[in-house]
Amino acid sequence: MASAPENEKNASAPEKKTLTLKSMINNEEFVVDEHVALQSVTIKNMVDSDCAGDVIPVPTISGEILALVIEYCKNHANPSASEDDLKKADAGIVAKDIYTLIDLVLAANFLDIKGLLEVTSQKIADSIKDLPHQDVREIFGVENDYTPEEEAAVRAEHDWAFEGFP
Amino acid sequence: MKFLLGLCRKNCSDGSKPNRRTAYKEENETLGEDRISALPDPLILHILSHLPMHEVIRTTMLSKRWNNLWIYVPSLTFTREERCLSEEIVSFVTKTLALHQCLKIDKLSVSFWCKDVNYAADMDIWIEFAVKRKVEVLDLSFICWQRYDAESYRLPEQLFMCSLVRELKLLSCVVEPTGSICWVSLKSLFIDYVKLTDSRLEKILSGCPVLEVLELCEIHNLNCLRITTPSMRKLVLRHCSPINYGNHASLEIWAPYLQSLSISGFYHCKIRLLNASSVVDALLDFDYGTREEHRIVVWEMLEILHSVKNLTLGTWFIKAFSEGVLGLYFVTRVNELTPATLSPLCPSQARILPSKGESTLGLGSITDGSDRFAISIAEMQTINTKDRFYDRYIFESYVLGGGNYSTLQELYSKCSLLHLKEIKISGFQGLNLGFQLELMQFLLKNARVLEKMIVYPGGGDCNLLSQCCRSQRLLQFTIKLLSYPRSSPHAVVMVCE
Repeated sequence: MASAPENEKNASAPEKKTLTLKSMINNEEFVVDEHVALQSVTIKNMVDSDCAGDVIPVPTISGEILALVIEYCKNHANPSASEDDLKKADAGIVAKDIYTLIDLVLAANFLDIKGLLEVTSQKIADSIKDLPHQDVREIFGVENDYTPEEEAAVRAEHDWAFEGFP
Repeated sequence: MKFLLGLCRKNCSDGSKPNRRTAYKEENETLGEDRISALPDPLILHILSHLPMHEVIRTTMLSKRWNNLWIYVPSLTFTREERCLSEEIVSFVTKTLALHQCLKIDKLSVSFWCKDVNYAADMDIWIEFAVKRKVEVLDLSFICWQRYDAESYRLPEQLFMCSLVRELKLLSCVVEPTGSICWVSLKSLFIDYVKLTDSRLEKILSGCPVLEVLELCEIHNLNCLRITTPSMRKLVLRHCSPINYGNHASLEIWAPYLQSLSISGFYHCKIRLLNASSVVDALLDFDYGTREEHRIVVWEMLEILHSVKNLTLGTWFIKAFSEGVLGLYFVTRVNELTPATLSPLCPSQARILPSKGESTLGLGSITDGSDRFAISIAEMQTINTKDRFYDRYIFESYVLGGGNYSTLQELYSKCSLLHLKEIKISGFQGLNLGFQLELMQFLLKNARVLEKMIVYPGGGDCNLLSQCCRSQRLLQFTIKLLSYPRSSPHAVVMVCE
């Protein structure tokens, strides 16, 4: 069953154009259909202005993250995918630890893929939501560099955001 | 370990600086480096745009890096829980906007229950802020049910001249521009619980030349909805039954360019589609009560929607199809018409919105004419999803036609699953629940021309399991599923993660 669709694809569209994306962090290469890769506005601009060679180097994004990005683009390039299917697939892609999410958000931003930027940002925001700032610090490893006096002053300065609310 | 670190922080907070540094270094090694603070400002602001404003402001407490970042967040959402006092919310919004520094904002969304007091002065300030900062998405959900019309908040004139707004949501306010409306960028308009007459709505629409989506909710003074904007592709009506209903009252819809139509809620009057010739997606989830004449009107509606490809019908339709006049009408129609003219009831994809205790006969009638069918087990549950055992009860009582499993089998064999080619099953509550497997076993056994059954087993307690445990369960589940006999020789069963 797995081989059937591939044969079909090769037979029906042998001229289909592909691009090779190469992670400059660990030199991993990915061969991707052009229409999949063009969901990245950055890559689209490169291709449109004839700046893209056979291999497009992608700086600062590791192969592991690039694979996730390509998975996202593939899902969203599939015209027969329903909205529900895409939502589920997106949820799977962002079900990652916080560091992978931050890498993903950076990658989505660099490659300019709006939808991926939205889902990853939303996921990170969700992990902050409803938590006291002490917990947020702990989750993200944010170092509290306020002195206790400073912290009290900042708190007082923003007291209207804390007043009367849980 | 965590406890120890907590102690460490406490001890250091009053101590000398070098000590504090080492303590944090230690802590960071355990926690990993602080990658989020290292993100560039625009990215942090983008992430913060996805949080309600009171949470955004509180991030200022995290560290110096985060201090006052919030004043540049381009998207502002104010939502408060109901228990918060409305005057607190109003002063919170006004104060926050006064301090905000962004010259261009993408979104302003304020939703709260405004009790008896009149906050018009504050609301005017918010709208002025939004218009001046060139807002693109504006959501004004001021919920004040007790003050319909006369005492509601009257939208200021400058909002009607806001030519940059792309999306607009208005709730329980007075929309009566004295001058003209200039929403030349507006793509999506949502109006909820506003007193609107036919002519007033027409005036509003004439000021929105590129409008694509119009959603009307609880608008009770409309009799004729004429949508002549060529860009309009989607219309959603919820609970828009005219108040002055008599036997001849009706809501007429004339929308030749519309591609998507959704009507839901309870209607006392006839809904007449005078022109809906471009509609390809239709969701009809309204309730007509028990009047026989209304059931006939539904037929006219389905005939007007002749080019529809995706049809979703609500429970009232299921009921109406399975009993009484409409059911009979349906059966005779199916028998006398050729497949080509049968198109209103043979959409390429039909979905049913199930609820508790409805008969499955109607569901059988629909699947009978359709070759694709999607079942979401999650959708078959009612709103209360907290108690899983309760859900399971609901599920069984629904799928099993309010009775037991044999009733379902009987009904399905009566209707036969003759044309069913594709089934999608999703929304699982766990992999080991017998009733889910039983349903699949039954469908495989009885759908004779089935080509594809796609199963998405995620959801429910599957998500709580460890990766290894989940794979193991999934494997067992798949083996079981593949062992069921299939009546269609071409049926492919796919399990997708």
